[in-house]
Amino acid sequence: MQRSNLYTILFAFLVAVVFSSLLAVASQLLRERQRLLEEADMKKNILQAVGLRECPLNAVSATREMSGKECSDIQCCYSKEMRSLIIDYRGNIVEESGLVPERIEPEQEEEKPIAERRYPVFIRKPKDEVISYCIPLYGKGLWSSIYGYMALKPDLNTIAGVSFYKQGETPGLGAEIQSRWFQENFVGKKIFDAKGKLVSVTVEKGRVDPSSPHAPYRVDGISGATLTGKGVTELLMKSLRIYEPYLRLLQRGVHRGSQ
Amino acid sequence: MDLNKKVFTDPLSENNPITIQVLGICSALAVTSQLKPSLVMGIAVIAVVALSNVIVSFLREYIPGRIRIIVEMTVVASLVILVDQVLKAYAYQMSKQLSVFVGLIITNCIVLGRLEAFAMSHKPLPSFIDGIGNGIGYALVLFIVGFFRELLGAGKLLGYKVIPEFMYRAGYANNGLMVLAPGAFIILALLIWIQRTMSGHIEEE
Repeated sequence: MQRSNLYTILFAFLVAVVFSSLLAVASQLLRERQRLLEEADMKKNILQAVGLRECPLNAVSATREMSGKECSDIQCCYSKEMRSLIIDYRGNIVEESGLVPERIEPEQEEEKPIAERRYPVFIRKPKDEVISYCIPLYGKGLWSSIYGYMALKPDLNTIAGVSFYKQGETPGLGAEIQSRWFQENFVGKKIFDAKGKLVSVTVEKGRVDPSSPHAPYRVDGISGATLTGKGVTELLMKSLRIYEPYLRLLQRGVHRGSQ
Repeated sequence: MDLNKKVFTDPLSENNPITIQVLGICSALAVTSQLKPSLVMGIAVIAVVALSNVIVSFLREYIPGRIRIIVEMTVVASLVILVDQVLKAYAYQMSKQLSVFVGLIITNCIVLGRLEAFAMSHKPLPSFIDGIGNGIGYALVLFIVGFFRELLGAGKLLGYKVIPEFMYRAGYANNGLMVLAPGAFIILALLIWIQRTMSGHIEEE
């Protein structure tokens, strides 16, 4: 049946209005809860990296849903233990109102001109003394973007912990970067060599030879996931490069007073 | 009532959207490496097909023929976004795992196929039943594929170990192929073979 043009336009308009308002209402109603879960998930991973929470045993248990109580425990622990600040690409601390370190998305910063990029630093400092510095990791694996956190001890060289979250690698193979053994692999490794050059940590193909002079900068790889390992190696280097100026300034004692 | 029963049971086997019509393969391959995401994806598709069938069936007399597909897509897209938002709010980890595939229900041929083939020409109740039937037909296949892929690929079901430790010590190994896409192709093809042998379905020349 052929309808008039006016009817068609009015009908289309009506459908658009009805469905868009439906979605607007739904998104308003659910936003609060979504943000709560998202933030708790992110803070949980920071706490894992700095060693305040246990890592999940394997990639499957990492996808367990969190209960409401767990979320509030995480929020509570986070606000008690962690401080956060924002730096620019030169490693200087910047104060900008309206910018929350926890809400900065690394992939969005990458699109901005370099002088406008802002990076978060999370510091575990329950009292006056800094226990560890935590920075976000972001990069490409084999199939997907990988996100994580790395915590450094106050010597700014030794890794205190690493946690990967949000990845879409092959289940059972690359996805095992979320498992406990792989993440604990990193603890105690160094990111600067003896001359003070940034070398980051490389994921080996297979096992690390403990007698090798490079052993402090290498971790065991996952068999069958060589390309994911390569991606992790690259993203570690890339993420550490971003923070290198800040770490150098810290080493020289520039930021001592202002944390 | 008999007609409604046939509308419901047909897509489960005789006219299954995946094994007979071979629609919706993309997501059937992508999310089935484990059982749990397969189940959630199945439920999401049941909800979207059933509800969009009902809505379009109510509107069928009023939708102008020229913008029919656009209106249908608007209905489907809105429902899919709704499902995605609800998952994000109540099953955040699961929505992270399913990522883009929930959004891709919009392009799942089963949904638009049912709207065009059934809901546009039937009353709301049979349309709802048709949607549920086709959704379950899809979910069933996802469930079977997900079941075997997780069992053979990881020795687990829903994340719990089911293949006992002594089997591994006796030399049993998980089949790595099953967690990759080819594993899904193989299982799906076997399933189609078995199902078509049983129902005697022959592809028209």
